[in-house]
Amino acid sequence: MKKLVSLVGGLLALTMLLTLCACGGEAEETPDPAAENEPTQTETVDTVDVDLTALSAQLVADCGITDYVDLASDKLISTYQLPADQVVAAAGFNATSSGAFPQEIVLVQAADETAAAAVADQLTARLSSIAEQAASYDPASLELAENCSVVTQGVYVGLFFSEYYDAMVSAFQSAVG
Amino acid sequence: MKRCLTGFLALLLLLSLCACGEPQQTEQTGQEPEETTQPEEPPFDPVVPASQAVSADWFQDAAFIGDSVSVMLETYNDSYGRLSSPAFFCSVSLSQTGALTYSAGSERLPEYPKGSGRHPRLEDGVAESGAKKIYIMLGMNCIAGGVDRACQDLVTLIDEILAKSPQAAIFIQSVTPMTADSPRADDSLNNTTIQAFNTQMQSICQEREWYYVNVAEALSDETGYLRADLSGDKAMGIHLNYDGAAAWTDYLLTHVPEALK
Repeated sequence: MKKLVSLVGGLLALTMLLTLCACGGEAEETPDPAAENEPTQTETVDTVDVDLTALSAQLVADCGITDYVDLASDKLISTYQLPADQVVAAAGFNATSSGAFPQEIVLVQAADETAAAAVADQLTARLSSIAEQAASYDPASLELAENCSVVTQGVYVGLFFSEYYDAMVSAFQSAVG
Repeated sequence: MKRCLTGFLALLLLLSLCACGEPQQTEQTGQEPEETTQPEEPPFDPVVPASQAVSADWFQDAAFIGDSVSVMLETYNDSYGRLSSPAFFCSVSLSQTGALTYSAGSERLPEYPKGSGRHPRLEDGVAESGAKKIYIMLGMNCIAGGVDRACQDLVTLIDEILAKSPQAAIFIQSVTPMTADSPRADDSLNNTTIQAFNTQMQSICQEREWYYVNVAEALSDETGYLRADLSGDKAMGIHLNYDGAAAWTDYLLTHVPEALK
């Protein structure tokens, strides 16, 4: 009898062991095709929000800008007519320039790519407005406005009306991935 | 006989005294209006002197009209809010001459309200804002066309603004100077012509009883040039940096007419 109980217990343990192994094997052996398209834990870095305020400060420091004023998120939204309910975060600054127009740097994280496109349209309109004003007044600013296109990467949008355009765009693209 | 004569003489004396008393009373009455005449009021002095600083809220119902020089004040205030939240009507190439000719919707007119995409004519935008104190600094973009013309156009512009905002007080800010090494300075636009414009506008302010706020003195060096440490651009030597905007703000806060406090 004792032997029988021991045998049953052993069989139960073996069965449990085999079951556990089978479950582990199934996960490995039959991967969900849909799961292949989903980002794994290590691939979700791009969904982590970028600290735009810190990035704005980084741009100031990297470009050696000393005469500037930071602009609050609500001020950026109102000034540039951004869709407030579609903006997750915004940061930026104005800085003196060598021309009549101050430098304008605006960084936006939109709710999704559709919202990002809407934000990009508004910021592009701002560049057009600068160009319109500069046409008969400040040729250097006109050229700058025509060459400084708005940059969109995923849900992130940047306006870099600045003589440091290239460096700022590079830093922006590196930060937002 | 003697008694009669004495009595007659006494009567004559009495009558004489009474007669002399009346003219004196009459003369005294005639002098009363002269004693109650109000002293003549001194002529209106448009120049706003320095006084104790007002709080930022004093500028809540103000409007600032200006060109690219004023754009720096606007962006400075956007960040620091030291003038509370006045309405700004500033655009880079704005002049009084241009403002009189641009149609509503022109990109060269300041956007108002900010973020609306609208560019109303100045008189309409100011009226819409409900501003009770209107600060104006215009001239840098048209003095080169003649000081007299620049002054006349500014007066015309202000009259158009007052036609729609009749209760507003007008504050003419002196046009700020150029730096000593300004590449933009030439025969028609330089600190001499700027000063001539400012002087003429100050005189007009006295005639029209508009206030004159001599902002330029807060930003000038001892020779009348824009201070190099307050200058924000080397290309023109006209625009301020944010230290200059701060100094300008300090001046505005400490130069408010007592009558409006």
